Amino acid sequence: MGWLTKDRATPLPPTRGEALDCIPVKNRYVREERLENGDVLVRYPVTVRPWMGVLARWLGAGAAPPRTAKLQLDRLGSGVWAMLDGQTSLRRIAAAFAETHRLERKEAEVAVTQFVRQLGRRGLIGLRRDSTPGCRRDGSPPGGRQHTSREERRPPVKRP
Amino acid sequence: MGSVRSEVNPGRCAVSARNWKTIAWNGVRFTVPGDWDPARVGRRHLLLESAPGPVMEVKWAAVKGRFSGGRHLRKLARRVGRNGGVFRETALPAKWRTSVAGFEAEGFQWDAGTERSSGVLLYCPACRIASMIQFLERPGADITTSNAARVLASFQDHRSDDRTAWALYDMVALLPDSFALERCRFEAGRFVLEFNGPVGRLTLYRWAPAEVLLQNRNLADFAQTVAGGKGLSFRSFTVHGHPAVDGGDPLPVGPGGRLRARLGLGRFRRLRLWRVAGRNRILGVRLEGRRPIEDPEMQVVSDAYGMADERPCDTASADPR
Repeated sequence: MGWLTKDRATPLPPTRGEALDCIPVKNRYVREERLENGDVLVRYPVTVRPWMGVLARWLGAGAAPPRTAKLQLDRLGSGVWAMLDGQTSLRRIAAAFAETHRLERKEAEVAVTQFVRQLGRRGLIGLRRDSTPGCRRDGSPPGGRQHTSREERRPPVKRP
Repeated sequence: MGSVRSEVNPGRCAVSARNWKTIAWNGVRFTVPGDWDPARVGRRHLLLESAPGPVMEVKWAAVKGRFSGGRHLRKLARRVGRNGGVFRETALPAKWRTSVAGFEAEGFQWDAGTERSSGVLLYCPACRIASMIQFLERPGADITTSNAARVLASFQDHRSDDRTAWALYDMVALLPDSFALERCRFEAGRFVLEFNGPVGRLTLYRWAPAEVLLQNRNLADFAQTVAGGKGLSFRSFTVHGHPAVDGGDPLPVGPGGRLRARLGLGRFRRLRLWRVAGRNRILGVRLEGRRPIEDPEMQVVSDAYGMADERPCDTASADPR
């Protein structure tokens, strides 16, 4: 019965500084288009939840074809989206955002992290944590811990 | 894409970390290093953090009756003990002792494994306010003793001019004591402070970035759609030299309307917004009361509110202790 009482090794949540060192990476299935007004339109495939697919097949409807969802980003969001190059950390993106719009540093960090969280919830991006700062600047492969979210590898799943 | 990225300035945070800034909130005022930002804001509570995590916490309250520092420290010790920490009362470090001259001060420390704290409980006999200030230490946090001593040396808990200073992020206001903070919200791009005062409800707004918010509309449209000025007619003028709009509910007409206003049965709004183009901000003042808001009342609050480095009001001038 040791498994009942055994302490689970729960990792400490990252500090604000560690979170800002994460690098957002776009989902490879996402397609983007720049509109005439400068906004970015993001198209991404969505699938229904697996159990709903099973249910649909069981009911004889066959597998549902993947659909494409669209998300139009406003001017601020489009600016942040343009900075997601898979190499720039959230901290540097927030600093650039603060400088571009003359915002408070903390305010820019909150705005950028909230936006990135929303994109993450939709599966449009993942976050890579790199414990050796600066190792990506010269384009060399990242060292240290590297976590790639599932969203980076799989198409996003649409929550019904 | 490239042009946006080219504006990244990695040294910016380091530069700001060397500067010190003033924080003034609901009666207390102190200066902190530039990279200490508010993480939690309450009516009488501030938690500040830097990149590694929380660095400083301040709580304060008016004391009714006789102040007992020992009782407050025992309460704090119980709370720390419940969370598995070890609490002890300590003598103040020599540097701190000179910093808090003028207060009754008692030092304390606690250690909870991953986090430690050194703090001081202050009591000001002049204004009868007790304040708990603690500096939180985590691995990697830059809390040097000199930083803490400098913060403590700048700490003030009352003024002599019957006004209360408010300075958080880039907002600065110096309002009469009669305005009591009701609610505050600090969302990215939108800060709101709500007060209850003698004329009614006062709301201070601050929006950013102005150039994006006013991309497809003018200030009057913005005031009507975003700032709660729906149905008001706005006129243009200037505030502190910035382009502004001002609007209010029409004055009551007819004997019935005037009587209702006189009895305080009406509801009158007055809204003033101005654009600080150089800082890419929109500032706003909204007054709401049961009687029509007169020009002088509006002028007093809009003169007392502005951006931190414009200094429309001197938050540092009044009596230190």
